[in-house]
Amino acid sequence: MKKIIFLVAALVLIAGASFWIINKNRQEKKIDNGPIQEVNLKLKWVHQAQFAGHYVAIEKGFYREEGLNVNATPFTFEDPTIDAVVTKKADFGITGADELVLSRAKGMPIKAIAVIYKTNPVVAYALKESGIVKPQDFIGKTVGLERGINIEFLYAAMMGKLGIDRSKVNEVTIGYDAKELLAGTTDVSTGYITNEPNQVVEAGQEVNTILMADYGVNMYADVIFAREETITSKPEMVKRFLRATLRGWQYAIEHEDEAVEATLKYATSSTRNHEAYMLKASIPLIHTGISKLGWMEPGRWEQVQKILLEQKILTEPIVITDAYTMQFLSAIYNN
Amino acid sequence: MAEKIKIFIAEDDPLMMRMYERIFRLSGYDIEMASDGENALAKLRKIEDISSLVVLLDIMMPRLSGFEVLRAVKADEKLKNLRVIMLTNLAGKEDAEKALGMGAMSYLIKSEYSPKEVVEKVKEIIATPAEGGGPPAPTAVVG
Amino acid sequence: MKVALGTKLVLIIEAVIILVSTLGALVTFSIVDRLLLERAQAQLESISVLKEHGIEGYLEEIFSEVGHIARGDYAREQFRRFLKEKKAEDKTEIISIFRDILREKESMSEIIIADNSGVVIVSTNSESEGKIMPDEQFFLDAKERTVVQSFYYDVSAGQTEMMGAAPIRDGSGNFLGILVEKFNVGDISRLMVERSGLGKTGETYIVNSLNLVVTGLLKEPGVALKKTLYSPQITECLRGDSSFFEGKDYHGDEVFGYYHWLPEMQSCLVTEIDQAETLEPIRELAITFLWGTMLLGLLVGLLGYVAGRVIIRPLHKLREAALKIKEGDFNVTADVHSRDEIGDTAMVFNDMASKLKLLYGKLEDEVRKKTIELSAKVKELAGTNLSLEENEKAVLNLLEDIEHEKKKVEETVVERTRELQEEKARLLASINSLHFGFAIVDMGHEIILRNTAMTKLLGVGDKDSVSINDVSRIIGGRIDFRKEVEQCIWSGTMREIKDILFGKIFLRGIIAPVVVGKGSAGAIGYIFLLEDVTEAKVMERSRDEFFAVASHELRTPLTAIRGNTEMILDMFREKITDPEVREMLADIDTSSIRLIKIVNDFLEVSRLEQGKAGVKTELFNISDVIIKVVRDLQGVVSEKNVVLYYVKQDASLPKVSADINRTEQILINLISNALKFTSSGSITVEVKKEDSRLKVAVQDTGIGISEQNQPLLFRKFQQAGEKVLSRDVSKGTGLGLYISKLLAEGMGGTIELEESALGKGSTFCFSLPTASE
Repeated sequence: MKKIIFLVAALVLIAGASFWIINKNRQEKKIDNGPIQEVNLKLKWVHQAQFAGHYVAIEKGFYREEGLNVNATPFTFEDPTIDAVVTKKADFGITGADELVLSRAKGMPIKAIAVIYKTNPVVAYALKESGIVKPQDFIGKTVGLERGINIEFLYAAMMGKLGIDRSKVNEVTIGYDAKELLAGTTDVSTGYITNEPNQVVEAGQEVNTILMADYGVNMYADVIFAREETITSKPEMVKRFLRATLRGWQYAIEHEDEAVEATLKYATSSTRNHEAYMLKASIPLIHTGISKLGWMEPGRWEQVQKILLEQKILTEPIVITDAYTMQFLSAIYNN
Repeated sequence: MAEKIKIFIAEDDPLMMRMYERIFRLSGYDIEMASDGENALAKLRKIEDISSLVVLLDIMMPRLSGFEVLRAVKADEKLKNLRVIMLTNLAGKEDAEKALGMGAMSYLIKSEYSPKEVVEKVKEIIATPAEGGGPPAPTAVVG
Repeated sequence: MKVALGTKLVLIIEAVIILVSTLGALVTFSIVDRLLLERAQAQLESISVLKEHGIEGYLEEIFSEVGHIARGDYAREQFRRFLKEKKAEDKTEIISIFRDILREKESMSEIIIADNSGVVIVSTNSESEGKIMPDEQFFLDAKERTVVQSFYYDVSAGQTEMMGAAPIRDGSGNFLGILVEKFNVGDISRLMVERSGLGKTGETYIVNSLNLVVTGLLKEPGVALKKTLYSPQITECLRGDSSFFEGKDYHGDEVFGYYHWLPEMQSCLVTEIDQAETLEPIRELAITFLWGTMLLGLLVGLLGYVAGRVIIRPLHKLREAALKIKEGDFNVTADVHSRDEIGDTAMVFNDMASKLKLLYGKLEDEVRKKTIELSAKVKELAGTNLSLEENEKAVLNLLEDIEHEKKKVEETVVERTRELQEEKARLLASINSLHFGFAIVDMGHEIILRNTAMTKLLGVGDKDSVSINDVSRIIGGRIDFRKEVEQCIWSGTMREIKDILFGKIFLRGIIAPVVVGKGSAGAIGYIFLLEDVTEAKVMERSRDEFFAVASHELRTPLTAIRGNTEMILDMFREKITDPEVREMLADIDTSSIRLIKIVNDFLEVSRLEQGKAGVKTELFNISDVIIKVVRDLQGVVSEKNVVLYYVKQDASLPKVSADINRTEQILINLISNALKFTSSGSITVEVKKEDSRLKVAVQDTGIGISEQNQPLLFRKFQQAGEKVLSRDVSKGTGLGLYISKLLAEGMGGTIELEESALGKGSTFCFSLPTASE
């Protein structure tokens, strides 16, 4: 009798032990990527929801899971993004596709690995009551342009594409906000859909936005780039960085509130409302539904160069296919 | 018969040596001396003609004792017929017998003899021929 | 361990039940499992197909709508003209037609016509006019054929849309523009949300070729058009397959599902339901089984128990009967009448019991008989036993007495032993106090008692037994102690063994027999002594050396003094003219002679005292010696007015056994003494025979010796006569008589003053043993 009891007890013990061991094993199955690598990311502008995907990837530990410790630093005029990456101060950078092409034309050895903002955010915006709803309505009106940045030549490209006579438009220079429009200095101002139109709304007015991308000038906006040398010598690290970044953006798309919270940890002087609006306005530009997150199309890159050439920003064409590489996106999405 | 007799005295005590040398010299004999056994034996060996020699041998001497010298002499082919008289202050017939048994002619106890008597005794012994038959009839004189 | 039959029965039945139940359960479960799975599969597939049909139908509609409009005669005409001529009336009309359609089709949100450069020229939404269609693949394809895009995020509209587009061609087939219709996704979503047949956890949703979840998810609300979903089943599906699958869903739950490829939408329709829900019935079944088994078990247990009793009761009865028999009650019968094996056994048992009873009865009778016989015999024996008892008593008494006596004797023995031991202890103590080795040896030559000194000397252990042979062995050398012992015993006298060299020490041994009667037969043992005389010997030797040196060292200078003095007096007389000087020299000479004599005497005395005089034993005629001495001393005597002569006997005298020289010495001494103390008269020497001796007497007519001084004569340093003030310098050392005594006794003789009278003279005599015949 005793023997039977003992046997049963033993069986139970063995079963329990093995179960515990198996369970333990499963939990501890972490990916070991070796020692944590330090990665420096230089952003396109100051910390804001424009880069929410990165903040999410840092805060949620996506980078860490890939064995990377990413340090995101904002743009400064003393230390601009492309220079920082070229001089090895940063490993990755966020810049406009147009700027990338222009830099490459100057011989800078940088390459884009993914596009985040597929739809260009450049808009013209006017008070609803003005009735200005399309570029054709600009004729005879005062248009405020923000100079020195791509808004200027995109506007020109658009007007050119639509065949609108610019001499019939009163083009003035404005600052980088909605002040002039709200003051009435302009009838319509240019800006980014993620920013200025909201200022009008916050000022208590209703606003019409005219997305220039709708009018045939849809240029890739924010791209992620790195030094060519980094791409050739550390492909594994680049892939991991991109994979975590895309994961971060996907998470931001699915969980906007969390993304805003993550952003606020970096955009410390901003408001929740502002960042939430920016993110909400940004997502459709990123998550267009046309292609996978970050995916680049050759045609779109050619369009970038085409516009630059037409607007005489770029004098000589470059080998556009050298400006970007699909290798990392392919590797990530084919898994 | 009355050859020139030479007296060889082996005696370590200078007192005694002087005494005997004097008496023999004054008695008209030639003297040769040795103050220890080894010296005595060496000198004896050097002597050419031993037939005219009479040896007075003190028993108690350094280096070699009188007995040892006597033994050596009697064992030596050249010297074995040497006429030897033992001198000693030790009393006792045993020693005398020992010496005579070893081939000494006679045995004298110094303290009992005046020097003159010693000379007389020696003269007696000289009268006995050197060569010839075994040792002379032993006479031990005890005073 | 002992388990009751009833329990055994119950256990067996229960085991059977459990076994059957388990087997049954396993079989049933596997069957049911399969059935459920198949059912789930079928269900999922049918739902999927159903929904797919719905979507297909929906898309058909859109396609046909768009196509219809695009290819409709009227539209064609209208469109073509407008596209070519761009007349405003055409435009208004087209727009109103479109608006009608929109009103009809709720899901449609906008209809657009774009020209061949992509510019929107007509739209139900006036804001869209002037916009340029993007260079997306969709629009490029739309130039060729009718296309449907699953979803497109219209930024301006701020919503997701589905689009369908078709090319507009002229009669000759030239491309004029595109007709685009935008739908909202709502309809499709509604279709997906329909839940009939999906139970509680079942759902359907669409995932497009970009892995984007297009419609809502049951377990994660609000993620439509945001969430991307990657899973093995979706990957398979996007390859164009449709199939049943088992796996994890987007929520991590294990599901059964069916994925269905929708080619028109280039998307995947997923239908799934939690496995847990599907397999729920099995769990219920399991519970039912468990309860059922328990109940059944209980029931059967009860029944078994009852049934058992039926069988067991008779067995118990049988057992009871058997027990009774074991206890000796043969009058028992098993009350079992059942018509089965047990009943048969009972019958046999009863039979056996009665037979046993008979047998037992017989046995009892036998035993009784024998018992009676036995008791008779016992009585007999008892009688004899009685007298035996009395004898026994007597014997016991006797034994007691003996015991008593024995005790007394023992006590006495103990007492005596104790006394003896005390004696022995005392003896031992005293002999142990001796400084030399002492041993008592028995006739077997075993040392039976030895003191500590002996033990130490021999260097043996306290407990070792030692024999005389052992002693010889230990000491070594040439001494055979055994032989010495035998000699000793045979002679019956003490034996001394001198000069035993034992290693570095000198020993002296003495053996003395212990006799109780005459002769060797009377010896019961012997005493053996060993004395360490090393010190004495050493002293002796050093004394010898001392004397050797002393004699030489003393005499040499003395001889020199005397010799030289005499030589001067003799040979250099003519040089010494002064009579005073001569006299002085003469004195020196005399002194030296006397000194020499004194030294000689001293040395002689010490030698004699040590027994080193070297006294010989010779046989000779004493007369010869006397004659010689007398003659020799005539010279000396003649100096005084004294006559010395020997009175010779006529009768022949026996020879004496002594040392000639020593005899002479004694004689000379006595005559010298006589001469010293006789100024005038005579000294006569006579010999007389006395027993076994010859006595020699020296008589003088000297001054004699007083009675007081007579006993002191033969002592050391004693003059042989009265102190006489005279210039006779030959006083002597006073050792002469002492030496003579030593010599005489050393030869086994005697010396004495026979008589002396003051003024008359003295007679000294000494005797020597004659030679034994």
